[in-house]
Amino acid sequence: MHPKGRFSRIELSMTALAESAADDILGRARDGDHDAFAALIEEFQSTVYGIAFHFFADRAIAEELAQDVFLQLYRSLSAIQSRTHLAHWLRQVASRKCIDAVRKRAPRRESLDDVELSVPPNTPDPFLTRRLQKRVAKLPDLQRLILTLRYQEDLGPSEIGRTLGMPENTVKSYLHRALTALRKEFA
Amino acid sequence: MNLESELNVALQRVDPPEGFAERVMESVRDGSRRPAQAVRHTMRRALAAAALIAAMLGGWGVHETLRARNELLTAMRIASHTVAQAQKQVNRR
Amino acid sequence: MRNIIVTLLFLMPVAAFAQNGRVIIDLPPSLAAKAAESTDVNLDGTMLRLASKFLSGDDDAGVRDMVSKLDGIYVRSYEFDEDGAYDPALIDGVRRQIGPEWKRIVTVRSKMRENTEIYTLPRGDSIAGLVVIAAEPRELTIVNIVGAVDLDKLASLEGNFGIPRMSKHE
Repeated sequence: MHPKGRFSRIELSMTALAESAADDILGRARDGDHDAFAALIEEFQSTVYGIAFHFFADRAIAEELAQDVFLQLYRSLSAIQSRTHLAHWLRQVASRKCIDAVRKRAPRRESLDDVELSVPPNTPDPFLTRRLQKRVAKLPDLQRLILTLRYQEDLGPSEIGRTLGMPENTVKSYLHRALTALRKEFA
Repeated sequence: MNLESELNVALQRVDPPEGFAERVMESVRDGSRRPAQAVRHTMRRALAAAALIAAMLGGWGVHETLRARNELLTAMRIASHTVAQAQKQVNRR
Repeated sequence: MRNIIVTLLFLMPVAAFAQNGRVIIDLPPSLAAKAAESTDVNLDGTMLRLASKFLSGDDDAGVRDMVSKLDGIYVRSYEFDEDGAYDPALIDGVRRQIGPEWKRIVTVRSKMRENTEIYTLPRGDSIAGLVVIAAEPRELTIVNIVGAVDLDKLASLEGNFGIPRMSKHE
């Protein structure tokens, strides 16, 4: 047996075990186990909150939106089939709530130099990260959202398209525009 | 600079404020959304105030009055930021 | 001669406005259509007092206090995707309303960043009006505040607002 092959099989087994445990938590949450639901929140809160935070650059708004997403999840648990489905559902609902929040209000803008930022610890160049975050915060809404799904969630264009309900080519176009705008300033 | 890897850093997942999961679970138990840590008022209170004032003044709708509030805060935010930035630029010289 | 009189009569209301601290920020609607994000706020005294009744909590106390002395807030703010999307000459229409009774208290010129002008209308020991013009290659912001504005207090309020950041949906 090739050593690498053996390790790959162990890795796959562990992944399968983890998936199985996660599906078990999901099952218990669906059955009304609040501790299990709380565990799901803790597992996915940084995903949901992150999408909202990078969209609004405002912690209070991001938390309100994230709360709404999880409350909606609680009401919709019976429709969630697996952990993979859950991850997709959360990204989709969080993204849609972000877009709905701006659609409901008249267009307005605020100066963005006071956006709330979150520079991860041990960042090699926190000033560059901060500048980049500020610039991303100035991008139009959909570009910003698609960029977040791409780089926070590591989704490809087709997955982003499925999440947002738009064609893959449209996603690619938005991505291209966003990256072009950023490259102009940061090249 | 590798823009893509910098974006991976800049757009990392962000943890919500402490106690987020507890607040969600409290809301799950009693069916109402808990105010975020940094939120200073609840929408219910604002709507009640809007209804009262609308009744007092007559003719102003709830939506209109809430919109005016939001516009006021937006305007003040823009004005305060612009003036503050100008002050900083002047002080730098 | 008749033309001069007609022009003067036309300008008089605008001039009268400016003496009371109010300037008309008359920018074409096409600017908002071109902008990636735009803000348009028009709150006269009545709407200001109504809106400020909704400010609750300690953090809004500073805004409430400031707004209680004001008679109007008018904001136009635009953000564009590209440099040079607006004609700087558009701002001249606002500047023309700022007569000799106004004082320019801040001028910041920068090739790379914001060009900022701040004008105040003195009235005794206080201010009866404020105009701020901030022009960047991709952003234009004009603010007119009518009433007794405390500039230092206004600047100190920066960062203290908790409303959603909203932008034009693409």
